[in-house]
Amino acid sequence: MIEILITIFTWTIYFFSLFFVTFWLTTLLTEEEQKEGTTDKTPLVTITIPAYNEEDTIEKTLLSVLQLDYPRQQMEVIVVNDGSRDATAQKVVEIQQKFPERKIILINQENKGKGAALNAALTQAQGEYFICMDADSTVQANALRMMLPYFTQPDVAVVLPCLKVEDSSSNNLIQKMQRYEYIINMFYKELMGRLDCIHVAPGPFSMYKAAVLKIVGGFDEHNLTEDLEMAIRLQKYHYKLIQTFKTNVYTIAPGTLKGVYQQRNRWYKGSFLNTLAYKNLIWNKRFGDFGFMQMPLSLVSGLITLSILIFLIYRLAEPVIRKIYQWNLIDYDLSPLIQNFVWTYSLIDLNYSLIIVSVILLTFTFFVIKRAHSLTGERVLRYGMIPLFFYLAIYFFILGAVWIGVAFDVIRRKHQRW
Amino acid sequence: MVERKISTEKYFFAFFLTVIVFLLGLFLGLVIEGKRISVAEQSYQELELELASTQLQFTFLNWLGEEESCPLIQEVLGANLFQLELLSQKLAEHADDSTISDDEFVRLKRLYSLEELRYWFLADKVQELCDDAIMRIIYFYSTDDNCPSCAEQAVVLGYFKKVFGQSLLVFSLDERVDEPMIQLIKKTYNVTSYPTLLVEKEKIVGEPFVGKDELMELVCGSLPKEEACREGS
Repeated sequence: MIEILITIFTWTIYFFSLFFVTFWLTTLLTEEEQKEGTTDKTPLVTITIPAYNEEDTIEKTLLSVLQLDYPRQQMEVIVVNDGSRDATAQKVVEIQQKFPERKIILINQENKGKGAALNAALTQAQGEYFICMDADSTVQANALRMMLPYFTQPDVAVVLPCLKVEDSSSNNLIQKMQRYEYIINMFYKELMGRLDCIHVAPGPFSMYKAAVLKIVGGFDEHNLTEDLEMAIRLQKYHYKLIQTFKTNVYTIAPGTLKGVYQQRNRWYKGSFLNTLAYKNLIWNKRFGDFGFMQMPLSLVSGLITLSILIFLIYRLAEPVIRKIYQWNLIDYDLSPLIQNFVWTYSLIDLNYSLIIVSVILLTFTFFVIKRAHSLTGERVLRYGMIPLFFYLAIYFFILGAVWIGVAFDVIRRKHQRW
Repeated sequence: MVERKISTEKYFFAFFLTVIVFLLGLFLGLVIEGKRISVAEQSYQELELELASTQLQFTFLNWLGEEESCPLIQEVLGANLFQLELLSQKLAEHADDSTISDDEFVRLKRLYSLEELRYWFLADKVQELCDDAIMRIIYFYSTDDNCPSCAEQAVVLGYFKKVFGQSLLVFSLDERVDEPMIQLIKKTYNVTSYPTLLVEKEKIVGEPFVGKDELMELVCGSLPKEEACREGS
């Protein structure tokens, strides 16, 4: 009975995996990339950096913002020190003193969370555009010049740069694996953008129309992932979200498994809870593909991941446990088995139906990896074969472990802050 | 406001392509299944031929009263039986994977079971001629849920086959195969639960299966000269 269930489950997973890959590749081939318009305007922009205990990275982030290729008088920077208990504020003051000609505002507030920090900045912001910038990220100098032209299209509320893991010689294997994840996610998000399905506007350098943010009521101050909630809310109000590859923003990926777990736990939990909060969008025709596909997928992606994880662990562990049990039956006397071993497997014994579907799926996977790298201007084997191998072989298990934690947290109603 | 739409055409196209890939996989599976049946049939015919040849060799040696040729005939018998067991096992696995050719696999399984029994009778004659140098075990198993310990029993028997080589001949019979001869043996020895072993003509039912030590005692009782039995004594 269990074998029948496993077979049905295997084929269902294969079917839907292949279906979604085919769907997105069809989108890649049939839907046009989102085009930017042309503009020579340089409106006032506000770049907001919410910071909580960021003394190690805030200076680098601020300097990267200050070097943006944009008229200085048309740019204001607001750093919101959200009750840091380290020298974050002091570092910002030092930069203020070093660049007195630049408009750098420091807001000190009690620790209220990222959403509240962004809203505090939004209240004071003068800019036509409001940019959120995480305090551990850096941005390419051409970012504003590349992103602004997209706003010539009507209804565009936010433009997102290509988010990558910061290149550093000290990056370890965990960070190098995340590099693949980020690049593939960017590719996927760009495709989602073509169908107006983007469901998250990540922290590093998302560029909003300030007026739109004010119309929709600013950021949710009590949300675990206010960036994700904002993106869904913008979709709810039928605004356009655009993902571009024309400029990059770099972020520091967690270098430990614990760090990855904590960060992804917050993201995935936020994704699940926010999707649940906006459940009225699910399968609602008024929201097109976003309601028909993206929202249901966000809701069940954890369940799917957990099911596949349990299935894979069973598939990998069951033969090992079975073998050990069998050896126990013969008191681990393996020498007759080894001495008289005869290879009895032949090509005709292979499961060709499974092989052909797997090969096609794997081919698509490599195509996606290659295409994602090519579109984002990266090389697949930049760090050699090892990170790619580990990304393909074990990264799923790490993310699966995160989903296990999320499931427990959701059941126990445990929440966390940024 | 963004103009929303549901990409119905894309969903259908993706669904259609996915179905095509799956049909391709299914088609390939069927082609392979056909090939497996033809290989199994071909192997069966070869084994039939081998059996006829072995029987003739045996008759000839028996006629000569030539006991010295026992090792030779034992070797042939053992090798053929190994091949027969292996093919039966593969047949059972392929039958499990099979999608549409169930009847064909059932028929082949019946043929293979009969072949096992023919070898069993031949082994009996060889045993008489060769003065107890071989031992025969019929292993009744079941492929449905009423035999939770069959997997364990198969492992123990597999181990014994490796230890005793061609001196120990194991004939595996699926009790569910609809073959009167199998039902007749079951009735004769009152085989009602599984796994059950017929060690020579004695029925042994394990609790829940016959373990290594118990079986070793039984086998060494019949094959005391075997190296594994001498080591243990």
